[in-house]
Amino acid sequence: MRSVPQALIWELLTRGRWALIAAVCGANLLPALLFTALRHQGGLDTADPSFIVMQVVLVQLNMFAFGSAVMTSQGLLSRLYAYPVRTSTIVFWHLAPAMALMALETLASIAALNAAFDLDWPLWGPAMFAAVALAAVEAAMWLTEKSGWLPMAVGTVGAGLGLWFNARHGGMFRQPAHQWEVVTAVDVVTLVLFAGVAYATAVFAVSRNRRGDPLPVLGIKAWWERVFDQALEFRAPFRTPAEAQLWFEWRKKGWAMPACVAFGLVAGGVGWLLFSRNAEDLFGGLVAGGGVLSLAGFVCGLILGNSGPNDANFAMGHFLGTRPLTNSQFARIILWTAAKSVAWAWLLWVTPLVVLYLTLVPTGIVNLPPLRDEEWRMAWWYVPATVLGPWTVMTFFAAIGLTGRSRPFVDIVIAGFVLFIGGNVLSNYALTFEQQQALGQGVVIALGAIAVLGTWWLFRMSLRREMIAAPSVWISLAIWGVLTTGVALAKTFDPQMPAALCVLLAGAIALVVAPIAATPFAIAWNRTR
Amino acid sequence: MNDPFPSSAPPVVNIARVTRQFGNKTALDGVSLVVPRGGVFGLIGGNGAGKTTLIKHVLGMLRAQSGSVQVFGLDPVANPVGTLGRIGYLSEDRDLPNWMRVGELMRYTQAFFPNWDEAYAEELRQAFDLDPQAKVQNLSRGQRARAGLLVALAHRPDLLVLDEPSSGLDPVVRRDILGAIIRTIADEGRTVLFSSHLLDEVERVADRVAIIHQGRIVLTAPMDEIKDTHRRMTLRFDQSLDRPPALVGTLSCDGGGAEWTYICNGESGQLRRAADALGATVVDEASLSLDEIFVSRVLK
Repeated sequence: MRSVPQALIWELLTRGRWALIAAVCGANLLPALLFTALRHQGGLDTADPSFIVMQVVLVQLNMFAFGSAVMTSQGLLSRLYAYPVRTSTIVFWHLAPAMALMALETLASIAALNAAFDLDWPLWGPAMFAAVALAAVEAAMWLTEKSGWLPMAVGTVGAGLGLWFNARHGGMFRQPAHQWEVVTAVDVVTLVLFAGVAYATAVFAVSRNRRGDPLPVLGIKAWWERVFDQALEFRAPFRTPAEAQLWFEWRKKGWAMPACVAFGLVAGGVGWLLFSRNAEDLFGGLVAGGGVLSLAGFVCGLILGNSGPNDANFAMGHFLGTRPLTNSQFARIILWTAAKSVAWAWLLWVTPLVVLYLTLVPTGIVNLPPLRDEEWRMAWWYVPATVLGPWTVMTFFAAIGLTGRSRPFVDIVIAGFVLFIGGNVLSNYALTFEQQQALGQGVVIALGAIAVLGTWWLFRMSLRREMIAAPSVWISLAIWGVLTTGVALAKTFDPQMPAALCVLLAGAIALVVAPIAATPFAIAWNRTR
Repeated sequence: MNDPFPSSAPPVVNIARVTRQFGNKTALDGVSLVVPRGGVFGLIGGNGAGKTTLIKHVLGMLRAQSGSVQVFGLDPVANPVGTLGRIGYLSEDRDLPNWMRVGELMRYTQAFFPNWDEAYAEELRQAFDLDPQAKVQNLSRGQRARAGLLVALAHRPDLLVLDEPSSGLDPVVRRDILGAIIRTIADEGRTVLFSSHLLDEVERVADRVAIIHQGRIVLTAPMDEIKDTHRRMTLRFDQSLDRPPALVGTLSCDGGGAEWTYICNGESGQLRRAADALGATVVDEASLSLDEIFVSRVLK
């Protein structure tokens, strides 16, 4: 290599050759399959307003997927700190090829989709935006490198750019109404300004990182620890290993879900104050929040399921692996932590909801409907589902995380995704509408049956290997039986309820108790390899 | 000092014909090893020789694909509480929870070991100069190693397993503190199994040594026996030779003309008799350092 630019571009393309190709394919697969299916069904109407929404979302998804691949391919900037190169040169030749790649990929992807599906999506605006967005996100990452501010900085920059991109389609906070057809001089100047600020920030940040200076400390962390960390000397020793391990799991991971919910409530409250201030919106938002608990359960389940030495490595480390605890004890502690976590999160959500309900309805300030009102789509099952949903999702993903192996599950997800999309596309071509309906019902029944049989198998194996005791099996069976009876009763009262849905629900209910048997298995698989 | 292997009690660790493969790579190839009760057992080998893999089998973190592992007469995979409750372990990667404070780490670890000696733990903390309020993530590499050593030692384990214990420790701590601790444990009749590629350190503290190379145990014997049975011997022949004549127990040979230096495995008298039989005169004979023995063994 004869120059720094040449070396950096070569490294980016060589290191990232497979990741970049995979990202291009992956990013374009979803729109391609979607538009193929829509065209076959005669639903590909580019004049439809929902197509503009689809365009905005899909183009941003494409940018996200390819941008992630570009950043992964670049590697850590710190590897270049010891080379005799100016910081501005490192930053410029890190950003410029990456920005060019982003712009080219966005151009090529949109052009290909336009050619294949007659979409007539605009090219230049999104391409320039993609390049600038990458620079801005990278600058934010370098500015907050190795600090707790990083997710906040990247989130803020990403959200700001997203809003600006949305505004090019008709309004910052409104649903996109038109294409970004004309890139105005103001747009260009703004993008150039963004790029300039990103470059200057990046040079400042990398210079600081290069000389080893830390980020300015605001003292928030120290204050937090001072307020919430009790002095060590006042703490009595743990009475049992299980008590110590419970403390460990809660302090390290268990608090995440209540914290997520608390953050969501505060953020939602601030959003409501800024944009709505309507009491019915507040109540509706809180009710809908019950469904979001399961989403928090997914994220926090993966956090709880990480018994590895760091966030990126789920394989159980030496420290936890050598605790003198059995796998069953470990599993009980994890499940207990999950239960405590879900309980706190649910209480945090339900308390303001109940207070609001009891305060607003009797005073007649707003005319809130009762819980079973059809308009709110609130049924009798909603409240228990807000407990069982997060519990099931959290423990399910915690058990997957606890295996310490991502490959089999990634393979299953990819295979499932391909089967789903491929099956849909094929069935659209090969089957009549009635046959498609029958196939759909068959798949739903099969999924429910797999969940029930899989859970039964897990319990059988756990019992045989003495990972769980017989009372746990009977209690789990009783829980499944009671809840499934509830579904059967619902079917009795509502004959319209599809039988396939009942089987699927029986399977979903099996997943409520499945982690009791799956968790010790997962830990054993991870702990002893 | 007590007899390093005083008891005829069952061995602490008994590994029989253990094989382990990671993909196409054979990490352990039919390894058999017995670690007797009491004394210091040094496991030496180069990078990737299989030391850590072997230790992970002892801790029950790897299941033997063939063969068997017993620790205190128990299978460590089937009975983690019975085995790990009697083991103190310092890992090579110093895996400790970053979010804990040193004091919290001590309090947490104490719960798992009924024999935890609070006074001894505090004594070690002071000797290692560790602040109980310091977060583990803010400790230097050396301090981290000391914190790991503290929680491995404070419950006075029957078996102390140290995987590359010197890594990250400064020379003073390494020589004075670590050496003293290891010897104290051994003198109390407990067992230390430690792996290292710093052979001078092993030579200083180990009573018994196993050399592992490419997944196989190439030598295991008491340290004194190893040193007694490995000699460097320079022989002078009557005439210049193109190639050195074969000498019994030769591990390596270097030289030229009429004078050749042999690294041999055997008793001094036995080697001298073999030299006489070849018509050679012994012009120099010396015992070998562990470093030289290791190199000659793995290059054999």
